[in-house]
Amino acid sequence: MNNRGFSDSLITGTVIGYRWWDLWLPGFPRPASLFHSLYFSLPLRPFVSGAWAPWLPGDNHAICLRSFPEINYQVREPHSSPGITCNCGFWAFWNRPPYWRTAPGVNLDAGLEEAGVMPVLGVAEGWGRTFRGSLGFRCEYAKITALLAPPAYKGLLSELQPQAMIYTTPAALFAEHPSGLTGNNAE
Amino acid sequence: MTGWVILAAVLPLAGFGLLLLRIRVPGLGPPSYCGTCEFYHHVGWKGCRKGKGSDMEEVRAGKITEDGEDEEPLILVPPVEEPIEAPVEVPA
Repeated sequence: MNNRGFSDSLITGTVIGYRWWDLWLPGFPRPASLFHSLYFSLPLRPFVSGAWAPWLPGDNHAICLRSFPEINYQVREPHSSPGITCNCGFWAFWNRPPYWRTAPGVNLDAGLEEAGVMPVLGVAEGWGRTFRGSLGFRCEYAKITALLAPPAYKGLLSELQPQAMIYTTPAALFAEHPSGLTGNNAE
Repeated sequence: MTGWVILAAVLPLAGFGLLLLRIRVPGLGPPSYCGTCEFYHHVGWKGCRKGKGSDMEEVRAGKITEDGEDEEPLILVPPVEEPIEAPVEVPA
């Protein structure tokens, strides 16, 4: 593991932050383009996606997709994620961010749900090589620990992310999952 | 009936014509790269930040610091949960 640029001391703990994911709903055809070649293995099944790729249940290990020209125009030398001169890695924010379009390639003129996408707010917990900033963090490993589910998709999200706690009210989610650095070094 | 036949003949030709003339119609064809929002999307996508400020200015993927700030590198190791040992019964 190349830890160049990272502190020599290990800190026991994890970081917790808030972010949006896209829940790709079942039964909708996926955009057919080179950019979405990653999704060819998931043609019709629903999945939870970040900005560039699906998040698997349990622990996820980040890789930089800018090394793949067929996925991203900004081709860079392969490097460990998160990269120092790159903005790759799993990221989340200390405060609830406004929704942004994370998974492009879908015509949204008809509306999100009609296009087969449902934005979902939730909590990500990260560890490993991590960059911490004033707005949030980006890290090497992450998992979804909690999701705020629209009532109609509660069961589906439980199935897709069985390790995540499902909430139906934002107040409960934010109260039980405060953001920040956990562990003995929590501030 | 004649009208449908004419439509069936004309529509494909019209589509082919658009392709030849490289006329971009919002929502048609594969998404293309937009240098403004650095996403691939169809022309005219309403979520694009092109030409307008919005909350998306502040929430770009991977932007975890304000402009000019540095990121702090850390290596985080999740705490290991120690197994709860069953109490050992001491014979009387």
